[in-house]
Amino acid sequence: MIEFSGVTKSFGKRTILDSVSFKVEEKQILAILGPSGVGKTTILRMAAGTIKPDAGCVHTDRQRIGFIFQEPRLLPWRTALANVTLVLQNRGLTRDEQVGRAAAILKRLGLQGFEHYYPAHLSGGMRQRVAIARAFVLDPDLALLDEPFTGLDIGLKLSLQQMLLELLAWHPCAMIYVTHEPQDAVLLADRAIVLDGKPGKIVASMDFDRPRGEREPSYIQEQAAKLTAVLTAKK
Amino acid sequence: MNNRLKPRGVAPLLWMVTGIVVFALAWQAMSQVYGPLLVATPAETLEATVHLFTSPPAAAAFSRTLGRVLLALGLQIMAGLAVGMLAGFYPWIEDLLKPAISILVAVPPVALALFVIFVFGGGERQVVAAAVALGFPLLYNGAVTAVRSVDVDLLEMLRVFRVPRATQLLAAYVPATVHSLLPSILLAAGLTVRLMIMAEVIVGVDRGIGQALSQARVHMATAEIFAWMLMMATTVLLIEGVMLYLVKSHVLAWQARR
Repeated sequence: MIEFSGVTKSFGKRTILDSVSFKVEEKQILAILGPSGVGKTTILRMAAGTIKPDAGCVHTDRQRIGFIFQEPRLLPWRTALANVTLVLQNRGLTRDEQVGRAAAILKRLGLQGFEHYYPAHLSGGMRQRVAIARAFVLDPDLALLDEPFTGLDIGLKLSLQQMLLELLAWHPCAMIYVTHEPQDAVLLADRAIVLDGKPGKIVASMDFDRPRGEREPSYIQEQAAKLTAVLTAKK
Repeated sequence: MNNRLKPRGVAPLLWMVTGIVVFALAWQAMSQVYGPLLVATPAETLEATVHLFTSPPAAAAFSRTLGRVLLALGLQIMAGLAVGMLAGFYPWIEDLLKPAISILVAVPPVALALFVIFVFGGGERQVVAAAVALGFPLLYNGAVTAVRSVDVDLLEMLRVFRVPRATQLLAAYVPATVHSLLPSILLAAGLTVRLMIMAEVIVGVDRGIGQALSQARVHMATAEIFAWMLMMATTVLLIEGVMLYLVKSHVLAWQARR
């Protein structure tokens, strides 16, 4: 579980977030939508513990956090395998265990045979898959996703979303998923909140009652349309 | 593909050979004008070079100098990387070292070599120390800049995944710094050969190219001096070539395109 209670955050004189409160239960996926600069990434950074709120508190009992950024952020001088094993260091695993786990998740994501390739030798989609592998190799109890499919072509995006859904089915965990796309939110999340304003506040919240596996295109369209209406109404 | 990256066939080799021929002709002409006592002819120089190659004392002098160069270069790289990275992390260290680095950069190499003789006396260790001190600022400044230019997004990623500090240093800072330092390391390799021989000549250490050059000068053996110069130039090119090869094949493998 992770809970934001009355969280306010400023950078210099500019207040980014004002009294933001929400809770993500175990194995629940929360989507955060809103315009650019409203504080979505700031929420993820606070959830990851790299920045602290100025007021309010972020309470979490999560030990292992996986983060997928908008861009893969792989170390260019390390191979795909070495980029994944990097996050397993200092976690009580032997070198063989680290390599075994990293190779297994790379295989699950269709990267078998590419373990020893450097990021520069991989396509954009493959690099993002390595980044997904790096986040999930930890068996995270909280995954934080910062618009990981932005800028990808539609085919690649759908294929990565499918892989992510399979990973979540294999290893369910709490997740906060920042996106601009209402359809992506409905496809992946259990609940969505919409941030708006300067400073950013929660202006709407929506629960998706149907289980993820049972959401037909018509349901996704219908819920996405509702979310879009909320987003456009606030502009 | 970018036109500048396209293979250029044998043209570069032909131009290079032409350059060597033109240089040799100009050299020959100078030797005709000034006389072989002042400027040895290319043929005399080549003959002296062959003689040096087959002479055990000359080979010993060469290997002695080469050993000192490699030692000084290794120390420069280690010290430059370590101290430069520390100064990159902690600005107060950079401020503390600024006066000393400024002096090392500003003082002419010959003055520093003379300073070493007067203060510490002439000897092998002093010569190596002088070469290290002269080459150090180049690598130090490169390391300071490199540490501060490490991609902040990568550093944020390491923090998010709670990668231990020591691993962050080895996995991110050191490779990024070494990569940025490569041009400086190649520059330092050539510089160190020149500085070492100059320091050997001035300090007058036993055995080494510097001493051989001094003796050749005393005996007015112009062809031998030219032969040593030729060998030095070849040595610099070889060291730079070997380092470039190692760098390309190992360190920069991650940049190569398949």
